[in-house]
Amino acid sequence: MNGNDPSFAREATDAVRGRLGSLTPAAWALLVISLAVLAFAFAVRPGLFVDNAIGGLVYGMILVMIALGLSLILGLMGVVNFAHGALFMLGAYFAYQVVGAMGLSFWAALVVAPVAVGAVGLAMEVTVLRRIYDQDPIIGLLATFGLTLMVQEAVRAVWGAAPLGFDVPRALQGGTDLGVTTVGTFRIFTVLVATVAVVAVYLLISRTDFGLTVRAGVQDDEMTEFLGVDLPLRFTAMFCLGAAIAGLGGVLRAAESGLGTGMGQTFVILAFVVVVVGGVGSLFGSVVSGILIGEATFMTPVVLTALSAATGVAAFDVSGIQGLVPYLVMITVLLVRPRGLFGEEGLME
Amino acid sequence: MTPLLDVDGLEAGYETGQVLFGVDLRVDRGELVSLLGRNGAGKSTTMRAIAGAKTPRVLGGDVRFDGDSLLGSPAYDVAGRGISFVPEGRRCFPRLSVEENVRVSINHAENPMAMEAVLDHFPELAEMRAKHARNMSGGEQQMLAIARALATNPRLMLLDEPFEGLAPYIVRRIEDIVEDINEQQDITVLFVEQNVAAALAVADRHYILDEGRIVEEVTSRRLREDETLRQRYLGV
Repeated sequence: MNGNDPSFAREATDAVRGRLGSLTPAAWALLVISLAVLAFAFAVRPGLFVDNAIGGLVYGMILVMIALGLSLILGLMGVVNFAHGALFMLGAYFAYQVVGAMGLSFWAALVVAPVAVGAVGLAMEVTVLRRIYDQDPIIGLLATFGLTLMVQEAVRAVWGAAPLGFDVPRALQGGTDLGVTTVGTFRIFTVLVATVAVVAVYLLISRTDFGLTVRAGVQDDEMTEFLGVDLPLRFTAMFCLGAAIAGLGGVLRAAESGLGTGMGQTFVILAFVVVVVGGVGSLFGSVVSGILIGEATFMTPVVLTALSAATGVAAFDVSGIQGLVPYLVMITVLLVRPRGLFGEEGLME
Repeated sequence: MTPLLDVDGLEAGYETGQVLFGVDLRVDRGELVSLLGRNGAGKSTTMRAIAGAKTPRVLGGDVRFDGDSLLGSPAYDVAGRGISFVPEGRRCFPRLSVEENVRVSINHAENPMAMEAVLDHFPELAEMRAKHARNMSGGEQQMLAIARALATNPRLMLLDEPFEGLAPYIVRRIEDIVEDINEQQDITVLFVEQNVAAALAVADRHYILDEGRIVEEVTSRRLREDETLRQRYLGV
């Protein structure tokens, strides 16, 4: 908590300026063409454009909420936590239990479910993950994959495999008129809650003494302990926090799109894509890349529809391209920058 | 009186094999002692074992600090008891500023020094408080590593090759700092060195480590005069 340290915001702007400064002419051209294409799509189909821009933001923010925990756990403890998707899914089912099965308010679920997921995360860390920090990464991957299967089957046993859903309070139902289109109020709510969560994690990591030791731990865990910092305690706290935020993401996702036992795996893989694109070890990178991938996924169909409408060539409007977009983004970024957008030198190269 | 640091028959090693075969050394309050030896003699292993690092694994013997055994205590606990360790290679946090590096240790010491008091000892660092460690020279990083260790206000400071890879005039500056820490701050210092001249310049008493055992305990005078000793164990 010191006023004269270089603030995180400044660090972030420096990072962005650094990336922009190092762009090749080809990359600049690509950036300009992308913006031109987007402007064109907006001119042709403004309603669909805004609709999908917000859809992409909502989707991106859910991805960011999962990716933050993944990135922290990978950076701090060196464990590729495959079980993070299971925690996301648990958030959704806990919310269903509170709202759908027990008939309590959604607001209660919004608090209870993330806390409960945090508790499950705590149990996972203490019983399994703590034992594997110093081991080969493949052991962490296998162990957390095992945890994923356990959670998934437990969920199936308790709640069944059929898709479920629950209602949100009346205030969050319906739509909000934005002029060109009407946007579901709950989507706006999701973006707000996710933003608050992400900003809170940022402030925790960048402005507090706790966050300082976490950043030090990411850079050199042994040295941090030599300086008197009880890192295992911080590992547990960060794991618990990452789990709770993933759980919160699960609640928001389930309220909008319903829940099923497969949701964890779909999202954890996308969240890994987000972490890799953003750069391992960079929280800022995870946020940027989550939103980028969310938007790219939702804007690509809009652009293609607009192109097809303007040119009359129906072949432009490829259906089902959405699922491919995150991986196309990942391939493109890794070809140009193997360390990811904001990754530190040497981590992935 | 019990010595401040009492290493007694310490045996330790890594997965690849045992490195220390019974190291015995004692450091009394207020002393400035060097641990000399060739590459691979086990100097760093000894320091890491005292500091409570996860590797090497301690296989036998004991390390007592002010009479209490340190064995089995994790590194952060050893630090909390008043031992500051500056490992080989400085190990400053590259993406933290000078002040942030120091603050990590200040925040976790029971009786830390104030930031300004730490930086008073290092006017060079006070002029670059917002600079990231990765943008600093080797000498500056070494000063930062020592500043960070000093900030916890320790009773014992362990330094692993503090003069390694530094230009001669910076070596002299670090020598002054180490002497100052010992005399003015009243902190006991044990440091590892390969460079006999630097050890002679700073320490009063020297242990010589060879193949995982202490083979000699000598005064500066004997180390300076006994050429056979230096030839045999230190190759100089």
